Amino acid sequence: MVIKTALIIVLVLCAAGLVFRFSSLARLGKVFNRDRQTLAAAVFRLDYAGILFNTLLQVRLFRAGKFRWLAHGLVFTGFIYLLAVHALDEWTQNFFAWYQPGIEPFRFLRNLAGAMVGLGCLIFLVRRVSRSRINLERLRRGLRFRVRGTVSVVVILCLIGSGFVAECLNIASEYRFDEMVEEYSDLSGEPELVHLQAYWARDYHVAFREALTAATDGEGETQPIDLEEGRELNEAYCLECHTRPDTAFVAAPLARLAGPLGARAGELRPDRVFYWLHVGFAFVLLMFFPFSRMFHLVAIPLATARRRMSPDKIDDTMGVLDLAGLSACTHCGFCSQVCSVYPDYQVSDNPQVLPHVKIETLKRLAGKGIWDPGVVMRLRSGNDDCTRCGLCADICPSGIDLVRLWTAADALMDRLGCPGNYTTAMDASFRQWTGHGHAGAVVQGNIRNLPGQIDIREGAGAEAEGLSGLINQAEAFEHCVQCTLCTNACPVAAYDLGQNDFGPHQVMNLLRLGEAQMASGSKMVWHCLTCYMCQEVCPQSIRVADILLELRCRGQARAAELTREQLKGDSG
Amino acid sequence: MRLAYFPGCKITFGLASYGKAVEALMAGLGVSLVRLPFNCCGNPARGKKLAASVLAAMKNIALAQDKGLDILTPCQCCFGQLKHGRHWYETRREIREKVDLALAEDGLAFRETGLVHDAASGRLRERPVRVRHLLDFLYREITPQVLAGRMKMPLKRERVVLQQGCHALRPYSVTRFDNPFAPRIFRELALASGLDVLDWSKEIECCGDPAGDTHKDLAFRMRRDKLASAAAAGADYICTACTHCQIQYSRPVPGDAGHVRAIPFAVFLGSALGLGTGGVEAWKQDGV
Repeated sequence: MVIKTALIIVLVLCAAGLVFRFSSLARLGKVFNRDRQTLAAAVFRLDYAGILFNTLLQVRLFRAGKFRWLAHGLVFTGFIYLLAVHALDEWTQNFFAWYQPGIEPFRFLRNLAGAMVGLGCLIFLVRRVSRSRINLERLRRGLRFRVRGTVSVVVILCLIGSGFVAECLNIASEYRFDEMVEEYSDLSGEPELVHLQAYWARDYHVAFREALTAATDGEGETQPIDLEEGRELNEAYCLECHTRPDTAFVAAPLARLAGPLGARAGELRPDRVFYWLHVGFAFVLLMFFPFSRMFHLVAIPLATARRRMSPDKIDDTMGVLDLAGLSACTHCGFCSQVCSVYPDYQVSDNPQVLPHVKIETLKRLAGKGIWDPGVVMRLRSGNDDCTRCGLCADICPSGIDLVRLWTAADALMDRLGCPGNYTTAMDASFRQWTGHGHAGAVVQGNIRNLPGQIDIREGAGAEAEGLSGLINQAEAFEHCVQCTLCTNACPVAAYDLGQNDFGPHQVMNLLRLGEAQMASGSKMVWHCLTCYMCQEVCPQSIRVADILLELRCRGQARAAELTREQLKGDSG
Repeated sequence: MRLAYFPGCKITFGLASYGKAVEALMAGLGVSLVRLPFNCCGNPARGKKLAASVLAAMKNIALAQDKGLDILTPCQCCFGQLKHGRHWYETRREIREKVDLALAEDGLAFRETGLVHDAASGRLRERPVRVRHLLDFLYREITPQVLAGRMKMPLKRERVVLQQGCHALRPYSVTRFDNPFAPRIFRELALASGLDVLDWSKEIECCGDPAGDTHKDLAFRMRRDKLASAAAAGADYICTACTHCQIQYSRPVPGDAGHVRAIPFAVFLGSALGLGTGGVEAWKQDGV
């Protein structure tokens, strides 16, 4: 009765959680529907084979990692069996008329399934602690939510563990034995009961507090223990529901070990305590299902149900965030292991380069808006590093259309007012960019900043390039004779005549004036196609294109600075 | 012949058909392509964090070195960047130190030379790993003469102009690919395949793809003008040898830009050799 009431409460909470999860997804969805048609196309192109194969057989996970597939399969099949035959036995026993929890094959299968789930979860835990390609120390710094991923696994382990302990204590409990005798037999006293006790002590691992040496009959005479009679009594009263527990290959050995201990604590009924713990863990798992990692059980089928967008269609879906995909991520990290721009992460130490970090940030961003300008800017930068090679989506065991998410992420950040460095650089006025009043003042004020003397503060934007960078060495550009050959060869100057600002030779001249900062904001620098024509034609062998690229590197830092100021201004 | 195949990021997602054509061509020529867990070549990081772009390139090279294989890429941007990355690695001490540390993190190390499988002789030789572009490999290892002798289904003399592509040609001091102003590798290979190669004033000019994600308008104007001028030169096709050039010409253009389409050279050559590279006809219709 208590369990039923609690179950109903927990189910209601779980359902409410699910409704909340889905309604918040739907709410988010509304924000991003750029147009209904695109969304409709995105939602209704279903992939039936994908649903079947990826949900039940986890083919994608199999392709990505055989070992993890095995671990996952252990947990999945074991859990499904336990849920159907063990937890919901009141309903499912209608399908097997002979069902009793204490007989074969159910006792063995229950142990097997429990062991499978336990083993799988242990593998998960071990794997979470040791990762192959991704450096653990780096990740520890970057990822606080790692812990959250293990909570569900730990709760499942507790569930399985308490179940096994409850079973072994149940097997060994004398009190339980007495209860059963009272309920299901008309044995009330010796000597028959003693024979049965002795038989159960030997074959069923019940731990009795008093040693069973002899039975006293009604007349006060002692007779030796008759196990044969015990066996007959067992057949008469017990065997229908209780076969020998030795096939319970986890619980039975445990019962032998823990039996004497349990017997000593007998009055406290440890078997009941662990039974209630077991039920409690099950309820906790169920209650937090919509908010824990377990939600992927629902989200992955939803995510795999959609066909992946082909490259030529992806731009049409810019504004549509695939919300089922966002929730389906289990942070397995396969994507980050194959990520093409992993080296960018190694150099920049920005975890937001890695797909499995990006997706978590994106989820928060979609829900909360720009809650932390620093994090969102790192996401913008990391997403900007992404080359859209699609390797992450190819390997994703959840079948999430990741490339589409990355494209949508850019659109989302544009909407929320966190532009990329390119946009900031193009939108910033000359005054904002240089931090000076007007062009004349800059040249006047900065005349002491001769090339080669550019100080560390200014060079800070180009820290990765260091002072050996071309823009910091006067001899790299001071020989420019302003012949304009570079500008004449430049396709940007040719095709973008009305919109471009400086030609490459003018950028070189800015450098000679000590105005690297000003140059780093010029359109020429940001639009350079890197065709190297300028560099190849330069009669003075100046590395014009390499210098333009270095200036852009420096400009990235300035642009990020401006965006940060902008975002701070917005929030303050 | 064995080489480590470096498709680059754009082939894996955006231009799979080009990748398939290259693989079929190489299989037909008896070259086995080995897939290694390469990352991005580093080209996109050039204008953001130079050290990251150098690390990306050097990691690929160190990986190929570990396996003792030269790198073959059908993308000129990847080719140029792998060369450039090594150039910066060798000339910038600060970057080199940073890169070495990061390589060590993955259990890799760059060595000047190592035992490398030599494509021509098939033997292991002590030398640096070489980065090869598809054209450079076809020209120097297979040679146009051999190719001309193997033509099975000679192409009808399609009138093409060549998009030479920038990053393999320039800067010559780094790439050492071909004459940067009067390239002839691509032309000789195209002639050997039976194509009617026309002169085109914009042959060595940039395709405009790098502006495709940011300054879309610039990329669009370059695409339109170049397609129109190729038509004016009398061409039916622009023949490309770089993933990015191919992508640039495959983007939408208005109708008045003419009838010219871009087709990768690997597709033309594969058809001429009678290999299953997708067929020129299919590319004529759908582009990508």
